[in-house]
Formats: sequence, C-alpha cells, structure tokens
Amino acid sequence: MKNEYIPHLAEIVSVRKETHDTKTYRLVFRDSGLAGSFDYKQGQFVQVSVLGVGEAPISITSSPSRKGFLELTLRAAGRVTSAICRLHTGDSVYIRGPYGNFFPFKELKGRDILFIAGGIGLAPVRSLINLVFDNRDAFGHITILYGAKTPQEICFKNELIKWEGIRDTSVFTTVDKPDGTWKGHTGVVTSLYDKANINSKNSTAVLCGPPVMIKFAAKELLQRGFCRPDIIVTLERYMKCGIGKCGHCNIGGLYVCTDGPVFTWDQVVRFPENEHVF
Amino acid sequence: MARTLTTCIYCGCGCGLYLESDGSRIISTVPSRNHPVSRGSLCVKGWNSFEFINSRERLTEPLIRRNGKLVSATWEQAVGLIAEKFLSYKNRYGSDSLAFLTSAKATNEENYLMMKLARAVFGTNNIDHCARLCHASTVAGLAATMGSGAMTNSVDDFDKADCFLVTGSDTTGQHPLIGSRIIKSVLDRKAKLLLFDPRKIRLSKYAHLHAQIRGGTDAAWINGLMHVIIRDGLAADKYISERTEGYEDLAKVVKRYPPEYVEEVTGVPESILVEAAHIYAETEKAMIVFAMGITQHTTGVNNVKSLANLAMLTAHAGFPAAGVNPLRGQNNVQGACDVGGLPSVYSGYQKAGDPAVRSKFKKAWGVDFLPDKTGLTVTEIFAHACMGNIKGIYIVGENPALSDPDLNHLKKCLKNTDFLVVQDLFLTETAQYADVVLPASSFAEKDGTFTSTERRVQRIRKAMEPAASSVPDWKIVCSIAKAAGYNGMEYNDPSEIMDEIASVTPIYGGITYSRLDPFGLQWPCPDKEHPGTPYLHKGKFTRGKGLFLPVEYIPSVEQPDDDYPFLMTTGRTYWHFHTGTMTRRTSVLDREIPENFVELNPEDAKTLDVKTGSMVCVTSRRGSIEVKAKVTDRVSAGSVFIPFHFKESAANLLTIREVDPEAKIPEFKVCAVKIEKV
Amino acid sequence: MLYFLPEDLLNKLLINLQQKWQVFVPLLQTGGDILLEELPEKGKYREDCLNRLSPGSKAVNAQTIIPPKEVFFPQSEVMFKYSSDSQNPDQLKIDSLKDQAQKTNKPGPRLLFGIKPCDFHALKITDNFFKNGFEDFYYLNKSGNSMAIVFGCPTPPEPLSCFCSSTETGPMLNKNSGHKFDVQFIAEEDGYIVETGSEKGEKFISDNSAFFKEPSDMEPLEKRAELIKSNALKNIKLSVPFNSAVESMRNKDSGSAAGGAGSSEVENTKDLYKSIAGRCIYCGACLYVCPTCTCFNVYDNSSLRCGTSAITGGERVRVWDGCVFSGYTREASGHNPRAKADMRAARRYEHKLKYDVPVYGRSSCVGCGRCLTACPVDTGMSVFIRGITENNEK
Repeated sequence: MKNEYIPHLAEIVSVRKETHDTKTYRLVFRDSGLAGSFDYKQGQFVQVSVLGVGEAPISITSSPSRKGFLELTLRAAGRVTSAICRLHTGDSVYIRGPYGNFFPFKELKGRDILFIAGGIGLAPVRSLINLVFDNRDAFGHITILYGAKTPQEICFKNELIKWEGIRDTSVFTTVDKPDGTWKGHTGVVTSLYDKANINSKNSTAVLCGPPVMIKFAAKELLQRGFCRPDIIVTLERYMKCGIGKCGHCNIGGLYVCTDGPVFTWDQVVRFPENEHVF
Repeated sequence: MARTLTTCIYCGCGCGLYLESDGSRIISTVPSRNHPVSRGSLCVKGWNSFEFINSRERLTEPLIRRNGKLVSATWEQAVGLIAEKFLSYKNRYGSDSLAFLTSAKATNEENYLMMKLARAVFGTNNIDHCARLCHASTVAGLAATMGSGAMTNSVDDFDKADCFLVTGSDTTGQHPLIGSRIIKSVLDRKAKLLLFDPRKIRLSKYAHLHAQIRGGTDAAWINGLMHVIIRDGLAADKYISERTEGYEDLAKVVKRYPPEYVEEVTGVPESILVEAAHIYAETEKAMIVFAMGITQHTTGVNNVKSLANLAMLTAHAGFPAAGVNPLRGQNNVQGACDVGGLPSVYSGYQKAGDPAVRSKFKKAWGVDFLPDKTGLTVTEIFAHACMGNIKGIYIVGENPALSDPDLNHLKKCLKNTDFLVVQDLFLTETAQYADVVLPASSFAEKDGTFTSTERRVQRIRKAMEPAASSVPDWKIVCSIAKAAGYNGMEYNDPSEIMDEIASVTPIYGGITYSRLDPFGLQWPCPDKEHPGTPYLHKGKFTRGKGLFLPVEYIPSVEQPDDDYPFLMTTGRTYWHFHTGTMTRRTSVLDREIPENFVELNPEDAKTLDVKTGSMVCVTSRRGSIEVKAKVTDRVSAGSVFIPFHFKESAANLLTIREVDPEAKIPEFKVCAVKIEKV
Repeated sequence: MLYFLPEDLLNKLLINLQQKWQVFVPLLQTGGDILLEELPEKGKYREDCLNRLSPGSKAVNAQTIIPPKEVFFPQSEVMFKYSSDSQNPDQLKIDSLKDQAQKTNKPGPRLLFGIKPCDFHALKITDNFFKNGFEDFYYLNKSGNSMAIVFGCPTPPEPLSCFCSSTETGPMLNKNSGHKFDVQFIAEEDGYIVETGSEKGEKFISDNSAFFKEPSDMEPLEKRAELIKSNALKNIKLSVPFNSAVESMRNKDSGSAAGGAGSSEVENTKDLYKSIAGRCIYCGACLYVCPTCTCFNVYDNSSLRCGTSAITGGERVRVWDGCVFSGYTREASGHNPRAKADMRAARRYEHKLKYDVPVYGRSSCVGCGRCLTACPVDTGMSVFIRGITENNEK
C-alpha cells in the first residue's frame, strides 16, 4: 500500500523575490524517476514540508505545459511558509502531491476568459494563464484584472508586462494604496470592470484572492450577467493532509482538498457557511 | 496498550484519567467515568495532557555550566557538585545562605522530601513554592479566621448549592470541570450566580448579576455586602453567637461601608450590591468561590479574611454546599502546602517556631538541629539573592523567570545567584540561568500522590519508564541528601515516604497507599479508620470559634495616573497553563492561541486608533512589551488584561513587586501601564 | 449458523485465538472503567487481564469509554521520523521507512473481541472513510484483515445515554434487519450463543472448532437467541426520534443563499446551535469519544541541540483533532470561516446527521451516546435530536 503521507525531497533550483514577503521557488525532485513522472494539472496544489516545522498546502503556479520543474509562490504568513521563505537556492524541501481538482481547460476552449486575482491569489491562476497562452489560438479574448494593496506588493511584475504584449489580451493592474511613483489605476479590483469593459457573453471568469475580494468581485460579475457556473474560484482553506482525511477543510459535504480547491460559484452558494467563507 | 489510572497534571480540580503507553510513548488520555470529579469528562488540556510528555524537547541528561555554556554531565557529577557547593555555602555563610523552591507540580512525597532536605539536611527554613504567588493569602486569611486554609466544600457540592458568589475566578477557564458544574447548576437547576469580577468572563453570560468591580477594591464591596446584610437584618444571629467571636468589631467597621460609598469606590451600583447581599444571605446553600482575583493583591490576606467574615456572618461555613472555596490553581499546590513546602510550617501546618513540633521532627528525622526562625518566601529569596545574602538556590519544577513579577528585576536576581540549580522537564526560561540543570521525569513516569483543591489526596501512577536519563524528583532529592552526607532519606518506593508523612502529619494521619485506591481520600483524615472529610468546620471551626477579622479597604499600591493611565491585570486563558511549558508544547492547544494579546476596551482602542491585530507597546515603570491588541468589551474602559503564558512578550515584565505585608504575595492583579500604537 | 460456547471455555478460546490474531478485549480498569486493551501474549499479566475481561464478567455490561476506532486510529501516532543527514548535518532527512515499519509493526491481524453492535456499525463507517479516495496508510495498515467479534447488548450499558434502537444499530445484530457481520456472541446464563453472519464467520468457527459446540437440534438455540434479542429490544431505555431528525436535517439548509433561510424552522435550528454553543466549554470530548469522528491534526515533534533552536531530528505525529476548536479552521491569514461558536456547534450535528447520509447510506451517528456521557455540560446527540424534533413540532 502506498503511504500517501510520505513526502519527497525536492531541491530549490532558483528563487525569485516577488515582494518584500513573497517569493517564487522553482523546485526539482532529487529522485530522477519522480522528477520525470511528477505530473500535475493547472490549479492543483502540493503539500510542502519543512521537516521539524511542519507542512502546508501551496498552489502550483507553474503551467503543466512547461515540464521538468515545479514553481510555488508563497508569502511568509504562517510558521511553515515563513520557514520556507528563509530557504535559498540549493536548499531542500519535501513535497507530496499533486492534490485537488483543477481548472477546466478543454471546456474553456473557444471562450473568452476573465482572470481576476488579488495579491498572491495570482499564483494559482497563473498556472492556467500560462497554459492558456501556451495554447493561445484555442481561446478568445483574455482579460487579466489584478489588484494589489500597494505597488510594492505586485507579484509577477515582468510577466504582467509580458502578458500584455500577447495578442488579443488585456491586462489591468490596480492598487488600493498608491505611492508617489504609481501611475496606474487606483481602487479595488472591481473598479476595473468598466475600464476592462467586461462582458459575460461566451465568457468564463476565474477568481482567486482574499475572501473579501472574491465576495465583491463575484457579486458584481453576477450583476453584470455572468451566471453562477461561469464563475470559477479557487479556495484556500486550512488543511493538514491534502487527501480528504484530516477533516479541517471540510465545508458541508465537500473537502476543499479533494473536491476543490476549484469550485464554481454555483457550488459556493450552496456551502452551509458561505456567508462566512468570504 | 497498557492503561494506567492517574491524576491530571493541570489544575487543582484533580480529574482522574488513564494514560495509555505503547512502551516508549504515552499515546492517549482517557477520563475515568467513575472518578468523582471527572465523571467521564476532561477539559481540553486534560484530554491532551499526554502530548508534552512525548516532547522531543524534554531534557535528556544533566547539564553543568562550564565556561558559560551548559554542557552534558553524568548524574554523579551533577549531584556531587550540588552537594559540594551547598555544603560549602552552608559552612562558609551559614544555612540561611541556601534556599529551596519546591514545586506545586511535584507530588506530596517529593514536596515533603524537599522540606526535609532544606530543614534536616541543610538546616534552613528557606523553603517556599509558587503557592506564595497564588493562595498564600488564602492560607493566611482562612487559617486566621477559621483555622484551616483550604477549600471548605467538595467539588460535588457544586451540584447542590443554590447560590454561587464567584469572585476573581475565571472558573470555566481555569477550573473547567468546576466551571461546567456551575454552568449546569445555573441553566438546569436555576441556581443563582453572583459574579464580582472586573472583567466580563465566560461565566458573565450565566450570571444572575455581574458586578464589574474596579480592580483592587475587593475589601470595599465585601464590606458593603456585609453592611447591607446587617442593616437589613439578614445576619445569622444564632450562628454568630454560638460559633463565632469578634462580631462587634466587624459590625463597627462595616458600618462605614454604606452602598453609596461602595459604589463610589468600586463602581458597583447600589441596587446590584443590595440585591447580591440579599440573595447570598437568604440562600441556605450558598458557596463563595474565589481565586487569584482576590488573593494576588497587596491586600490579599485582607480580601480573604473579608470573604470569611461574609460567610460567617450569614452562616455559610461548616455545611455541605455552603462554604468558602478557594480554587487551587496547580494540580498539587494544596498538597505542596499541606506537606510543608512553606517557610513557616512543617507538614500539616505545624508551626516551625513551635519547639514541640521541632522536637517531634528531630526525632522522626534523626537530626539534632532544626531551624526555628521563619524562612524566606519566594519573593524574599530572590531579593536576598540579588543582595548577595542567598548564595545557592535549588528550584524544582518552577519557572519564576516567567511567572514572577517584575521579571527584569527577577532576572537580575537569577544572574546574581552564585549557584543556581534547576530541575525540570524542559530547559525553561529559568533553567537557562542555571549552573546545574537536572532532567526530571514527568507525572507519567513515576508514582506518588497529588492533593486536589477539594483536599482529595489521590494517586498518580507510573505509566511508563522515565524518558531518556530523566529521574523522578523524589529520587533526585534523595540522592542529593545522600551526597550531602545524610542517611535518613532512603526509600524503595514513594509509598514509604507517604507512610512517613502520615506518621508526622495529623491531617494525613490515616493516609496510606492501600487506602487511596482508586480515587483517594479527603483530608483531614487523622487515622486509618477515618473515612475522610468532604466538608470542613462541621459543628465547629477548626480553630474553635470562627473569628471575625474586620478589614478596611486599602487602595492598590500603583494606581493609574497621567503617565501610566491604564490599570493592567494579568491572568490566564483556558487553552494555556501558566508559563506554557506544557501547553505550548501541545499542538492543538498552542494552535488555538499561538501568541500573546492585550485585551483593550473598544473605547480605548478608538482613542489609541488600534484595531484587533494591531501591534501595541505596553509599558509600565518596570518594563515594556510589544503585543497584539484584542479589542473587546470583556475589559472595561481604562483597564487592560494580558495573560502571562507567553515568553515572547512576558506580561510579568510589567507587573509590580509590591507584596501583601503578611502573605508576601505580589500584586499581580493591579499595576499601571501606558499603551502606544507601534 | 448458531453455535454454543460454554462460559468456562471463553478464556481458553482467547488464548487459542492469539496464535493467529492480535486480540483486543475490553478490560476492567483500576477505576472500575472499561477500556479496550491488547491481550498480552503470555505470562502472569495475561492471566491478570483475563480476570479483568469485561465480556466474561456478566456483572459488567459497560461500554468502553473510547470506541474501538482507537485500535486503528489511536489518539496519537508517529507517522515517520526524520534526523540530520550524516553527510550534511544542517539538512534533515526522512529516516528509512523500512526500518521504521519494522520497529512499529506488530505481527498478526487484529481481532476486536467483545465490541458492541453500535461500535461495530461505526467501524464500518471509519473503514469506509479511510479506504475511500486516497487510502490512509496508518489506519489501513492496522485494520487490514481485521475482524470483529460483536457482543450483543442484553441490557443497555450504564450510564443510560445510548439509543441504538433509534439508530437501528443494536442492541443486537440481526440478519433480518440487513446487518452484515461475521460473528456475534449472545450471552446466556452459562455460556454464549454464537451466531455467524458470513463465510468469514463460519471460518472463524471452523478454525476454532474445538471450542464451539454445534447443537444437535438447532431449533431451541434459535428460539433462545430470538427471545434474548427481543428482550434486549424491550430493555432499551432511551429512544429518540432519530429518523425524523435526519429527515429534517436533510431538508434544511442553514445557508442563507439556498432554500429555507429565514423560515421559522431554520431560525429555531440556529437558536438550538446557539444554545448548545452557549453551554459548550470546548473540551472536544464529543469528538474524541465519537466512534465515527476521524479528524486529526499533524505536527512535527522535534529535538533541539541543547540550548539552541537548531533541530537535530524528530517525528511527524498525528493526533485527534476536532471541529469544535476555532483554530481547527483558522487560516494563516487569520481569516476563520467558522469563527463563531454556534457555527462550530452546528458542524458536528450537520456532519453526522446530514452530510454523511448520502456518503454512507446512513447517518454516521450510531447511537452509542458517548458524546453525552463525556460532555461536562450534558449536551450530546440525543439532546440535540430531541431539540430539533421538538422544534419541528412547534
């Protein structure tokens, strides 16, 4: 019987600083067999261990279309993520997974996609964004709305610029609190809706961010004609096992780790605690 | 999967539980259904009490400080060094250059041996323990008025009383299984709960009335209650004349505390005070329940005397479900006092100053000399160490570097101590100052007895072999005595120590291990046939007549002023215990409250422009900590509350060293602080 | 089939079973409580245990304080160990799993001897839970090839908080009621009627044929068994409207967005959750003692280099956890989707009576009553069921 709880050694091959407390790590499994066989889908997550400290679920931010490595973006928030953020190139962590369901891909072909992300919430969505761009011809117009608290807290700065240059793609960035140098938009992410001229027709919205952002972003999408199944969110929840056993992420009859983390808004409104999830 | 019945290590409730060992670890805790206190339940700390035992941070070997660093040593080296150093101080500076801090977490047998070590082997009465910081005022106050410093009722009485006057006790947090009985009595039996507490606590929600008193004004509102009781003719005249003395003095004093004046001082509205007085006096089965909110004041003894006065005035002492009930905080703080871990008394509260007592112990212990002068208390020991009078301190299972007031001063004292020995499960904040650190075994790894808050002497039983090279405290103490040349401390088993305790301690006279199965006996238990005592002062008080000792209201030493405008009070939370050495090494408990906080009234938070989660700097005249704000109406405007569990931002850096003149208990509950947004 | 085991052969049977099985039995403890323990392989201690055997002593018909889930899912267990890499002391690595397994794995499949019918039903649910989806190595490693010998309850155990006739999980297992089991013992004056319910059960009998008498005439044995079973049902003291509670939970959505919000029924239910939360002291007992609660926390227990915070090795441990604790759902950001006490109170009841029903085809409450027995403020499933069904009648 496989022991799903045993993680595997992975080496940090590069670290990119996103903001003062957020970094993106590129990892490669030490075991060459595992490095070859590790396969994941857009929107899945892994359980990352720092032995002696603990384990935490982290979304995979790299696209499955780009093979040979795994990228994780994390912010030093809890004990484990803080410990990881102290690691450097050449250090190791332990990884198991991938776990969870994933963003639809085939189902989105031929449609417009509206990505809405806040802060580090861009990380899980980025996996799908890059997968879509690696198959650019299969999709309609791509809109990316991204909000951060301050200009300093914008993640994936270079990629946002790069995405903007891709054909039939619009990227809008906003910050809550601008500083003197900020020339872009100011306000919450929903304040970009008009500017981006969003349209619900043949369109799917993909959301990730802080609970309060998701709540308002989705609410306004519904007002603008999006129907619940066309709003897709990916959730974060405290969890210990990632495989539907520890119980922590259980909402109603669903486990965020195995039934999610990707849910349609139609599912979300049926959550027993939906008023508190966001 | 062997199971062992034992007693919980946390609070004084004394719940019975089973530990399960797999040979190398304790893997579970299960409450006993038949145990009279736990009755199939435990609080969350009890349910998780096995986890710290398995902690990999347990000390594994003795450590000796060499060149400033603690390095591993053998038991022979460590014990030899302690005996050598202590003997040399004794010879050079006299016995009173040594001090011993025994432990309310250790067993009765171990505490008894510690006092024997201090008195018989090293010839000093400088022995004390953390009861000094919790119920020293109770022991003094109740002994003076009633003759016995313990809880007069039993835990079972909480199911029978019709009125609870709870003050200075966050009962559901600190004594959860007693708190739960109060909840059930109020909700299911319609018992009345009268709560006198500066903070809104969990019990507030069940209280018939909650008088949110100003911190440190206890004598005033208690006198106020008595004023109303006498004024309205509710005093128990027959009981007073038959069973008490000193009533006239009391009546004279409380006359000066009319409700209008009390309201002014304490903030308790007149109507509340009058209603509380009537309910308490007119209910036959009424229990007073109190804890640190009463005792941890420079007026602690007065506060306790005052509560005793109140109970005697209304004939609420000496009966089942009516009495004065100090809830003891540590699993064995009652026992550590009972068996003489105090500077003024031997086991059974026999006075060290009494020649007859000393001659009895000289004979029992086979020594020619026993000291007569009252020894130093915890607070005095450290002060004297700072001045250089105390050279060697032996601390067992206490963590003063986090639990004592004014930590900056305390740490200076620890640094100044020539030779400090610390014996514990972990390298505590205190152990980090030690010259010798000794690894002790946990409660799961030894036999012995604890005495719970209801005076129940009950067994703890060994569930597994001592971890690593740790040794049970009683064996360590014996080996130090032997190394110091004393041969009167050799035992094969803790039961032999209990037999010795019984032979010299009247209140424990009838206690032997064979009688303690399964769930113990309540002292006084003077002889082998005595069934134990569920409630004290039946028929007459232990001291004969109950003595009214009237007290006046004296304000706390440090009052808020322009520079330090907030009144700070300290305490605990439900999830953690004391300095967190055990609970912060328990995953579920530490997850629940992983970091410190300061409770701040919304009004004050607004003025300071802080929200829940904002970092604030709290400063007193003695120190400063940074801590997260928790905005809540649990505290009233102008007051703040900080728990003392957290080493990262120790509340006791701020507290004041001033003590009650009689009991020498520090005023943990009141000091003045200022708060700044970080 | 029915067989008969004379009382005086019970201990001998248990000793014989130890050849093949690791045998777990309910034992009378120092404090008069009953707990499951592994029967020692030999020696004086085994004698002592056999003397404390609960099913053997007719006077004792008490429930184990902790349900049998603990045999496969102990309150705490080490998942794996790690230590400093010998080549690179700053790097921790997981110790060889083979070595760890050898040290911890005891031989022989586990036999749970003398468990109650309600607990037997609960084991089916936990077996199912740990097998479904990703397999739980630690549980299945211990439960693999295990078997349960059920002891029917002639009278409900003290204290009277169980309600198995309402949950249809006892007091005796009945093939007619669709109960699937291997072996059930039914106590009589001088021995046990032994009922098999499966091929596995028959094999158990044939493997130990020296102990079991096959009756020459089956009919009287059948009649006796039927009589005991019907008496057992009559002896039930506590019954609650369980099915109507499950029905009403199923039809109710406490969420505000979908159906039923604001109705008086939903408001009453919310009030009930509030009143339960108002008593709760967050001890976690109802979850720890529940035979179908399986939540756990995971933490690393590390050793430190003396006087430093450098980790030199340790173990990853899992330990029982529960949805009543606020830290159970609190995220690293501080956001807590179940921050309110009444939401946490609701969780347990909704999980057992509502969300598990479609998963297991029945509620995951088996009516053992332990939650009430262990609750310091006298709340439990039967109290809730009465509350919610009375609400509905209002």
